[in-house]
Amino acid sequence: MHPFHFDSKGRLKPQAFESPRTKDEISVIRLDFSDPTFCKRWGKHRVAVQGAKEYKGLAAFHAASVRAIFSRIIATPKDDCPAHADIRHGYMRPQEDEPGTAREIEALRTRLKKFLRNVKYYPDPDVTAEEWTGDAVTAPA
Amino acid sequence: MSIWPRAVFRASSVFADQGYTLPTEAIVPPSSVPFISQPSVGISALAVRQARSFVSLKEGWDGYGAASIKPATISNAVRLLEAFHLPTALGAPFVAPHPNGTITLEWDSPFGEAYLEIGQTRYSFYAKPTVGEAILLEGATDMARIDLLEDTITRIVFPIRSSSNSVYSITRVNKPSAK
Repeated sequence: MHPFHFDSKGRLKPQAFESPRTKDEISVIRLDFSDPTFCKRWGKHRVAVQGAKEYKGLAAFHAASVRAIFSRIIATPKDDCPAHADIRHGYMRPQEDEPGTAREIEALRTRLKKFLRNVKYYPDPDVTAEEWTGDAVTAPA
Repeated sequence: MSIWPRAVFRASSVFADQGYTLPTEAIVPPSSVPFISQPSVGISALAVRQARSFVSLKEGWDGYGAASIKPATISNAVRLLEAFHLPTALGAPFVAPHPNGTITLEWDSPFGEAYLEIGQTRYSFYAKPTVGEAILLEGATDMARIDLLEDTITRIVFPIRSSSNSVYSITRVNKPSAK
């Protein structure tokens, strides 16, 4: 997560689940095929590789919550992360340095806000620890 | 072609469509409502500082190839923020860079939300009450109607009073049920 993905009260913003600039893919890990410690280690590994971000914790949700907002979630296993998957919203900003249309932005953010209601964020109580030491990670029912 | 008159019409129809009416007469605010006709200079300054700080974001600042925030985009955001005279009760907007190279400003409250995204030459805006349809505005940044934007933000996000010296209340009109 990037610091801009949290509001002043530490809550996740819809931006946390927007597609990056270059592709319609948001990387996630399937908890059914991993565990919170693996997710934490993967997150910290990505931060180390990419820089610019900060590992802060885990966010859990059901795949059905993604499909409920008419987005797709696709298994995209990698050699070093067999539980990897991608969320695809089917929308990317059409032109660099310019916003999409007001209609497009409103529609996407409405979907993401609905999705966020079914996401539970678990701040990591000890980001330096190797293991996940926080609460049991479960997606909201 | 101007989209502003159509936008104003839509702004009022949002409430009318849901059975709400906006009375035309001013209502004296209760003493507990702060009187907030002064420009929110301090809040603007804070948001302006945040927007200016984005000049330091280099290509790929999000770790996924985000575009840098160009000086023209920052300049547009600063110009709009400095022109806004919003009620202080609204607080500072949430100011953030977008991976596409734009700057986003957000206001929200229990009444609704407003979102303004500013680019090098264009802006897109929507304001949406908690219940009801969104009001959409977009166009060239140098043609942005500040008064319309700030009035829409105030009416949707903080509808206790308008940006003028009037206070509006929203009254539910019970429509006769169809039998």
